Amino acid sequence: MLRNQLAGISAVLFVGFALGGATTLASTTVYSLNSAGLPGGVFNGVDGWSQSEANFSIEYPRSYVQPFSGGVTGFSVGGFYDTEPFTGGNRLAVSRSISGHGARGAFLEVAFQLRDSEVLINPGNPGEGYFDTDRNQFSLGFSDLVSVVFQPVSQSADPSSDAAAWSPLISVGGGQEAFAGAQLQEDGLYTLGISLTGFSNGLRYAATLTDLGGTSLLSSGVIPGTSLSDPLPEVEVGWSLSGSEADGLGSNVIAISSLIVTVPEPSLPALCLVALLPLICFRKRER
Amino acid sequence: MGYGARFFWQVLIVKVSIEPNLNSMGLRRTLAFSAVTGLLLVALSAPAEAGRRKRSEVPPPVVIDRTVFTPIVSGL
Repeated sequence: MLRNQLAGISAVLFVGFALGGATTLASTTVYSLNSAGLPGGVFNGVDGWSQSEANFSIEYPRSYVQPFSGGVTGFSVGGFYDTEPFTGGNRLAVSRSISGHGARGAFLEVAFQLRDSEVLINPGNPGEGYFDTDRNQFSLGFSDLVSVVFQPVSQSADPSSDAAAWSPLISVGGGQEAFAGAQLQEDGLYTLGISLTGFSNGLRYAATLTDLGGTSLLSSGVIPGTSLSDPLPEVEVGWSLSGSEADGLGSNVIAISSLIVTVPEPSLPALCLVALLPLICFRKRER
Repeated sequence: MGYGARFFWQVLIVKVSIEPNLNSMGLRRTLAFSAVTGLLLVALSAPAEAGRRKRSEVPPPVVIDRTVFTPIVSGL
């Protein structure tokens, strides 16, 4: 009698866990951006994020706390403040470690906006012009694994009267590939999703770019030199030179209002196995 | 004490200790030399960010509207 009851409970649990897994995404959020601070405050060190190159001083943050509509707080990376040229190469990376997880099954979703070089030397006197007009290159993704690069389509000496656009490219395996020949426009809210899945004995990526109207573009492929057991790398936001001014820096920025990382729910297969154990034991005893 | 002032005193002390029998003319020359050297150092060691716009000079970043729709242009 008791045996039958336990077997019944076991079966119910198994079906419940299995159905639960099938009907939900079976993933768990391991990181969600939680930026805090005053607008324009130094972002380096906030919520576990760090810059590849320190700020020249706190008066010139290369990444800073950014307010968004709806009371959302995120961060921006770029030259809103007239910072010193980079000393460690032509690129600055702002990254966040998500340690303790495998890359397979991971998913990154970022809501972002690209802003053009429009900061005036003297806001009270537009006649004095801009302090930097260069349009720079930005990137979003998993460090050294796969990321989407936003390359400026053109430069302009008068950025506020010329709509800026960036061409997205997939950076993978040390090379860059076109992303469906798409272009992103300044100021618009876009969402980038990058998922990593197992493939044979390596990893594949699928990247989607979606605009606020719901139009979505997909790019996918194999990530060379990877294995199924690769750890989840850092999430990284990059800012690199792409202009012609002496310092190569622009006052344009990439503004991040939301960023989450999810990994597959590890407990679901284990739960199913645990639920099945009594059934297997009883079966063996009966034989 | 600033970098230039520190250098001024260092030069003066070294000069006086090397030449213990300095007359008034020599002391004047030493003082003038140290002053000029100090001023040059102050000018040359001006912070690299001079002239660059910093947080206290730029209005803080404005609130970015998250409802701006600019479509992805595809198929280029």
